[in-house]
Amino acid sequence: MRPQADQILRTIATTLITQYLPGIEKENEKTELGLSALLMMVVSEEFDRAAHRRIEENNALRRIFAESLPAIKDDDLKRRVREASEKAEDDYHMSVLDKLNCELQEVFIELHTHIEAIEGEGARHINEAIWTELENWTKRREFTIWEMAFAMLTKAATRNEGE
Amino acid sequence: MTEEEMVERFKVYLSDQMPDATNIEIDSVRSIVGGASRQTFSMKLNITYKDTEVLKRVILRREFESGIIDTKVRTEWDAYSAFFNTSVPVPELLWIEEDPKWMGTPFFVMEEIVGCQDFFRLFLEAPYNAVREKVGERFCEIMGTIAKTDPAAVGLEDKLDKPAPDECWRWELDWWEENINKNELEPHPGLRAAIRWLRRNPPPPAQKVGIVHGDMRGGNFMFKIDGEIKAILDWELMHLGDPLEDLAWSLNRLFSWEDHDRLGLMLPRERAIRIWEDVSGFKADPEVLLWWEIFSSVKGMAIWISMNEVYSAGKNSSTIICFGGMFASDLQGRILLRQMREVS
Repeated sequence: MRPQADQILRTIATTLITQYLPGIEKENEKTELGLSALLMMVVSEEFDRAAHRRIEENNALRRIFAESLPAIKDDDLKRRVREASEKAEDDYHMSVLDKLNCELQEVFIELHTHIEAIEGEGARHINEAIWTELENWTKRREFTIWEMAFAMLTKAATRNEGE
Repeated sequence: MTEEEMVERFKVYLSDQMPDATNIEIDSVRSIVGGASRQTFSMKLNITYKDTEVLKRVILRREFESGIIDTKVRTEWDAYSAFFNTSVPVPELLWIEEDPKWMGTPFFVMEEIVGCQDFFRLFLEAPYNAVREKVGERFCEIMGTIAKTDPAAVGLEDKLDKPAPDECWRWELDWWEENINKNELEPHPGLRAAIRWLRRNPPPPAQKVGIVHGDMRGGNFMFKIDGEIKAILDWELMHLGDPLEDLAWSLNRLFSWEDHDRLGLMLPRERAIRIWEDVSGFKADPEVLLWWEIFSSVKGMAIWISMNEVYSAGKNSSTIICFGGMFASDLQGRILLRQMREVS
């Protein structure tokens, strides 16, 4: 098996930060290289989860769509939500997964707007499910390297008092 | 524009501006990384007139060809002009040029504030953690002073559009939502829910339509090791509006990620609000401030989304733009979600 792309990116980023960054003197070049290395780590993190995140999210959105159908009062929206709940992945290229994910999210926003305006226990239950999904939406997009990034930026940003 | 190009073109500009100068030298040029709204250079000018030599360190700020948010150098210039030599410290202005023939885009030049820091995360570490509360107090005093300043008294009333007190929130929310509509690369369902909440629960009219800096936060002012603030910078988002907007933006948890209860990692939140109230003379009602804090997260998202868009579209390939957009939209999204869970 060949090294995976995420591993290659992480390794190159570590080499840049530990071996090359300390030798650079110009502040802007140092920051540029440091940020580039950190972005490689971000991309590495995203690489591993990219397909999973989109497919998991599409499944979650379709589940909410299906559960919401009885509560939707607008026929046109109901039709579109039903159609969206039946859309499935048939191509796993990231660009195609992204396109479907964006389509589903557009419907999700419309559904949320509609549900917010409806009174009653059923609508409140769906609204809560939507907010739980919004929490998951945010979590799926979190990156873990920011602490390291902050520390690096602080070091790079410290100016000599004489400057 | 590269440093070399900038130096050459700026020299030509200076020669045109100062026909009596017998020699113009530019050296110690440094590109200042971090600015998402302007291309910023620090440099040393050495200008000779007959028998007099003038040395000056300056900052040149130039509009990007494709800016993150559409802002003008003229707005910054007007702000610095309004507050120069007042208790709101700002650098001295030198030149402004809006004709793109000189540098490709409009630019202005001001004196460089030296011997200072601007990165707010330094407050987490020695020696700056020892002065962070002092800096924070001064910061809140200045923010309160800006809020209470009469725009007409400093020549800004005729230069900026003035909303009615009950329209301040809507002007801002409309403008930032428009930016989101224009720039988002993927739908943001949580952000859209927040915008709808803000429209359903509008704040009361502004206590006064005042000067809003627009980006009043750590990173946009220069401070010294003794705790003194030497300059408030980055006024490109200045406008007339509800002064609570600045207070709320400065409290944005993105700028105090490691210590949410301190404004800009400097001052405990409640003390910061009290100082601002005392100096400005306005009240920061917690419910109204909460509206403006949620608005701040929406505004933040609009800015970070714009950064992602300009990078993605190849309009600005600067690494800081990519990095800033990626990390800030992640953290701001988390902050906004937590805020919305408290109110929805």
